Amino acid sequence: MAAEIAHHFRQAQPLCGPEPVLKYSLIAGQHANRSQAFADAHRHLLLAEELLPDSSSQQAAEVFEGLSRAKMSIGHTFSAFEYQRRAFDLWVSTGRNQDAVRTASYPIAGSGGKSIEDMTTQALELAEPDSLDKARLLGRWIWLTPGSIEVQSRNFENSIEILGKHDAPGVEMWTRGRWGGLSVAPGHYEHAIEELDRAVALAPLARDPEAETHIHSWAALACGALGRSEELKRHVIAIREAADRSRSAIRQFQSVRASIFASNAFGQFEHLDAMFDRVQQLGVTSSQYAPSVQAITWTEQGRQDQAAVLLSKSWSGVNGRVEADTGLLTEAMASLRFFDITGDSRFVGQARAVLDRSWQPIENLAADRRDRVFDLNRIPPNMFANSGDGGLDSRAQHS
Amino acid sequence: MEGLIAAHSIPERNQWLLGVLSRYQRLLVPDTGGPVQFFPISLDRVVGRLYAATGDHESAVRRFETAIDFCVGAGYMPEAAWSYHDRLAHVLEAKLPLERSEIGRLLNEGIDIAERVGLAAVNIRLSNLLNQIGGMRTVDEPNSTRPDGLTDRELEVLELLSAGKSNREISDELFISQNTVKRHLANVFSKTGSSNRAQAAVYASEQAANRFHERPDGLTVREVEVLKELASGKSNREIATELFITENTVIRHVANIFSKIGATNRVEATAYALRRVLIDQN
Repeated sequence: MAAEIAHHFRQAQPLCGPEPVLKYSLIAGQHANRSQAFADAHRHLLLAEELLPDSSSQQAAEVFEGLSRAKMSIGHTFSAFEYQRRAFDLWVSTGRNQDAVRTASYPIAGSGGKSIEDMTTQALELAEPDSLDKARLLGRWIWLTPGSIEVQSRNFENSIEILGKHDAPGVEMWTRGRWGGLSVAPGHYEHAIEELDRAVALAPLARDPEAETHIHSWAALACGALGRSEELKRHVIAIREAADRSRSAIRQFQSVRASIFASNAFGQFEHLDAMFDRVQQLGVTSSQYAPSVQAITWTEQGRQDQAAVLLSKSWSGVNGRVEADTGLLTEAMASLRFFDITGDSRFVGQARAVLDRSWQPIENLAADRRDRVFDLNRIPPNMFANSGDGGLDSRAQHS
Repeated sequence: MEGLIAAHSIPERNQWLLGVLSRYQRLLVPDTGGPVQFFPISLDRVVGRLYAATGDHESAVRRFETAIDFCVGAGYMPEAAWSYHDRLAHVLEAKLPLERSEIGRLLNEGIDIAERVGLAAVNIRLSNLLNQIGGMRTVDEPNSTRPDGLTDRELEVLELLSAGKSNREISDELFISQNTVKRHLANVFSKTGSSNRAQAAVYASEQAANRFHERPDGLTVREVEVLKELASGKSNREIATELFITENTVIRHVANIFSKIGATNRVEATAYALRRVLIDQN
């Protein structure tokens, strides 16, 4: 209903002015977010943002908060973080601390960098002791910051202790899921699977398909690393089911990505083209994952010329991309693998440059968190970069 | 990739690789396990290449063997094929001694997978390696237990054929393509003088009694080799060195042997080998 009203006011804007359009676009956007119609929410809220008379008002905070939520789910992760931070700052500056804490505790996946770390620190100070928001923030803190496993273990336990005073299976599932996910990165796979199983057990109560998608994704990685193929396949199916329920483009992307990973790992190429097309249809901007991986699949199949065209197109699109270097890692990895197989070094220089820069955030992580997987992930691209004639220029930086 | 070692002959590059090994040494023990997160690439295979490039051939072989075991076990077929390739390429480039039958096995397994999955790139590489094999140093095979020059794989195919299995069933059982099964069968027919499956099955039954002494209780050729070494008093490490496989692989073979022959320790296994005249009783 709000969407229809907003539409009518938009048509009548020359007569009635922007204020009612803004009001109903905001309401329509918030409603769409609650209904998990994130693309619609994004459209309504972008319009609302354009019409904001004052970008430092409470109304602006509401628009930014809604945009953050919508952008996260359609895959605009980096700008989702930016809007979250802007909303948080506005709530704080207008004395609405509870709103600020709520905004900060929304679980955007991934790391938002220093700005989001600072925001979460501030939100933790503002949150009421033993409140659900505090538990949620502590759960989020586990994933966001570069603190050691020991520190994060305390945060995890604090969060679980607070959650014992609330009936909030959804928050508990996120907290346990993140804690399990944290163990995947350093390569503590068995422990990760154990914790992730505990998180998954909460799914029927939590009814949060976004969290389920994440948790099964981490579990799939852990099972994949251990060579537990059947479990990996089961998690890939679970990811797909959860992603379908979430109605979120980014979760759909996550689901297709997991399927692509598994299909490539097992050498089941027959459905890959359809999956690559699906990724393109989803329009998720956070990665050029599909063309990069498709290029490798084609290279493996002996279709090197087509692979080179894909990689070339992928790199030429880099300039228009919002994301920083971390978003280019798939191009870099694919280009170096392409070089390793074919000896064609045309993309090696760009790939090396991305690799050299993109590992910086990882270097900042506590040693016990970056062990094995983070560091080991560096070895293949560096190995491939040095297995032919390319990559000589930047090699010294790694020695 | 021109080669695992040759491409790293540039001193500057070699120094870099040593730097990587040094930096990540603590992470590389124990064996790294399975694939990295961006793409399903076996870390053990890549680390094997690092070792190969820096001249630590023993570690390289161990990593390649681990990569093969892991990838085949997990069903990660493209990486399994590349692992077979890298293992073989390493043997050829470093001129390492390896039984000709083992080289054949590695090649066949790699090519089987590449054909089955449709991996043209690694298939071409493996075919190139096949062309190089003529000039390499190989270890003489122990007295062949195979009749009429059948390879291990051909013997396996023949055994399944004589058990009444179709090409598809053989293909599924041995995890090779049906085309490969057909190729093996053509060789089997040619070597055994059979003109159809029935004649080949008769041949198989005639040979069964002869082979009993060499491969009793369903032991594979490799397990018989391991059992012979074990019965001659060698430790797992010594067997691994002798057969140029990893100690873990030896442990796995020994466990299979114990299970198949009903032994609970090495003494019982040795007694079994003596009874079956698998080793010289002198």
